[in-house]
Amino acid sequence: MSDPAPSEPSVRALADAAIATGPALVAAGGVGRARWLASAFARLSDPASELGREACRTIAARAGLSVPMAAWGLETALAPLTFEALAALEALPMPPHPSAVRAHPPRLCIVVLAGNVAIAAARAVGWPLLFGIPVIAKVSSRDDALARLLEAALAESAPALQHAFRVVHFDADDEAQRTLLFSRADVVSVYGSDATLASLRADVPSTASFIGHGHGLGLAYVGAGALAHGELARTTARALALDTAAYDQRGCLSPHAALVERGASVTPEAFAELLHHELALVRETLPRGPLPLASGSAQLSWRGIGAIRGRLFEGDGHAVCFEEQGPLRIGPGYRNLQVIGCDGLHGLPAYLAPLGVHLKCLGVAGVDAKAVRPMLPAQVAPRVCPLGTMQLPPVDALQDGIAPWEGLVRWLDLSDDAAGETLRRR
Amino acid sequence: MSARRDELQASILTLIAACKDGDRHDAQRDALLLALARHQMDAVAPYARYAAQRLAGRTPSSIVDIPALPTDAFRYARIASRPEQDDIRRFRSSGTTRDTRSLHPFTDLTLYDVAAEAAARYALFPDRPRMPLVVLAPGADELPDSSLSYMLDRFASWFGEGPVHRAWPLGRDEIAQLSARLAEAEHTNTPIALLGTSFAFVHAIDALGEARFTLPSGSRIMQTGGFKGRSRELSPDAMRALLMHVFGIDAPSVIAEYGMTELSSQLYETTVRAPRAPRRLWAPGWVRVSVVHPESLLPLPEGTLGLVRIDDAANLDSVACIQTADLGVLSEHGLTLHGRAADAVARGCSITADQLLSTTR
Repeated sequence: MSDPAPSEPSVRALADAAIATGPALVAAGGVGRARWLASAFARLSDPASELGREACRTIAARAGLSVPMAAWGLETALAPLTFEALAALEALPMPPHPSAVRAHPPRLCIVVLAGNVAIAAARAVGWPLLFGIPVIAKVSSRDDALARLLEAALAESAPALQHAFRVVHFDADDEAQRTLLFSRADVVSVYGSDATLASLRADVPSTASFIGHGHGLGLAYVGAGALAHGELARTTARALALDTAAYDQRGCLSPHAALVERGASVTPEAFAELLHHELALVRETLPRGPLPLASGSAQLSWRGIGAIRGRLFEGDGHAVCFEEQGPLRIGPGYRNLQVIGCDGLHGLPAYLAPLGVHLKCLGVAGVDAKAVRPMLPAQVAPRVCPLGTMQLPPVDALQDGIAPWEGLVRWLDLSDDAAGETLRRR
Repeated sequence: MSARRDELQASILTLIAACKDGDRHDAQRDALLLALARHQMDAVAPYARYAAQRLAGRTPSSIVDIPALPTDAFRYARIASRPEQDDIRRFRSSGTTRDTRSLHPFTDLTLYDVAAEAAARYALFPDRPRMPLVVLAPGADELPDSSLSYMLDRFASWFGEGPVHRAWPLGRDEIAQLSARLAEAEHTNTPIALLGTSFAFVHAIDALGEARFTLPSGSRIMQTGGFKGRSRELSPDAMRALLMHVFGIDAPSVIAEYGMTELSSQLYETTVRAPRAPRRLWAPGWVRVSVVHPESLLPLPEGTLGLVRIDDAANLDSVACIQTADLGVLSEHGLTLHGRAADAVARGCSITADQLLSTTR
């Protein structure tokens, strides 16, 4: 009789081991943690390393991306996470007042990666670790690629800290395991759909804080300034094509529509055609991954409506629907972008307001980003950035309008009264 | 109405008559569908725009080349060759999962009626010209824009024996009356046909509680449609098993119907005619069913999962070639459905249109 397969350590044991690593993580200091994380990220994003090659292959297969697209994702998402950048980020949180000092980090952060956030997992688990909090990442079996590889890379970089980050998997409906895991946490950070967030938020103990990162989307605005002549418009279209093609338009920053100002030398319809050509060019270096049937059905409907409402520019693995006016039609992803004509920035609020908190990124061209601010409805706090950088958030980029350390860094009030001045005044 | 339209209608009626006993005339059908599609590309403006962009200057030489209009188009544009003032009936989708409902207007229901009667007579009532009907759905007077209610009302005159027993709404009184009607069928050994939507059957079964019946041999159940969030959801196998258990009939007597607002014809399982044959959806001879690749839109070989395309010759005044969002597999025995392709399954953290609708409404 063969020996039974070794079972994974229990959730409780993993959580306890992670918590026990907390003091070592704190002792490493911000600089030490930045060095540790940067080393692991560098290996994962290095196409010459065995780990880097495995990361690329695994992410491509699991996330349904082409290998070049996965490689691009690893390179652009992880390579900027250098020691210098991470150390600077770790030092960035400023005390809210002069007598506030950083408190000990929370004992344990549970990160739930419920959506397919393959490469985004780097920041999701990296930020708590950077700020000194051990992490247990709860992953779904299909979306565990980067988390597992990061677990291995971090353990190799600093064996003494190997328990500071562990990955667990159990069924989404395993309430007992989830309750046990959450009961050990001071912070629960969840990436997933609104329904997932709502469901898990209810399971978080009252003693733990909850950080939710819901699904979202991006939008683009192209002002007349970027359409003054053909070459400028082509450059703008090239930038938007890259934003659209990245991660096959399945990221929460991915643009699904572009509002293009009328009245410039290049019309919105002509811009749509330029975009169509640029998407075809992007495909040569960053091919789209396979299209699942269900998304194919949605794509077919989306393109069909586009052809009825306006003009459809269809390519091999992408489409641009130009509509002179009309409602936002969120496509199925997979490089299907709607281009709508508009009469300037004042048309933005009507399109942005219905998206609410789901609008995560607004890429702009031909207009000063500051001019966009008054046009943002109250409930909207996207990252506003130049086209071509929508999928390249800087290391200190806000997430959902909040700083990366929000909920991870706590402050202590230290009002010094060693001389008893306060007591004497009373 | 145009002479061309009238010619086409006459040809379609001839084809339906030739196919009503299950005969097939596929070459004649395909030629007719091609002629019909060409007429519709002239007469239905949104379809003309759609087809022109899809064809990109190519001239279709066979029905396979004709662009099929996605069902969603019926939500966004009026898909009709006739002006609104000519409408005598407007069928709308139930609209439970989307905020905009499909609209399929009719200026003439002749083809709809002839097609619906012929298909149901062949697949649902091949052995009995008439029998008592029990309907678990609202009548057309209550829900005039429901194509199902319209069709079931027509069934009463085509296939009904005696007054239709309508179990709707499914309140306490209606459930008690339904229970009594089923008991009467048992007692008098008179076979009945139970007709309704899947969710209505689930509601009725839940309300009937522990009651169990053994309906006389020859009884049958026609169930149609999904659950659309209106009741607990069951797989087709589980649903059939439940119906058999509660109403005491055998598996071949449970027949699924597949229809939609955007079509004028229906597909049926044919287990009443052929109890031992594989359970598949049968398309009447004037309907062409294919399964296509989602990007190339080319027909896929038998046994391959793809998107179901239906070319319905009875859709004379709208568009005959319809691209559904349903997944299916074709075989020599017919079509097997694999459910609706929901765009919510796109893997990634980008929000889907459905999710957005559900949270911003």
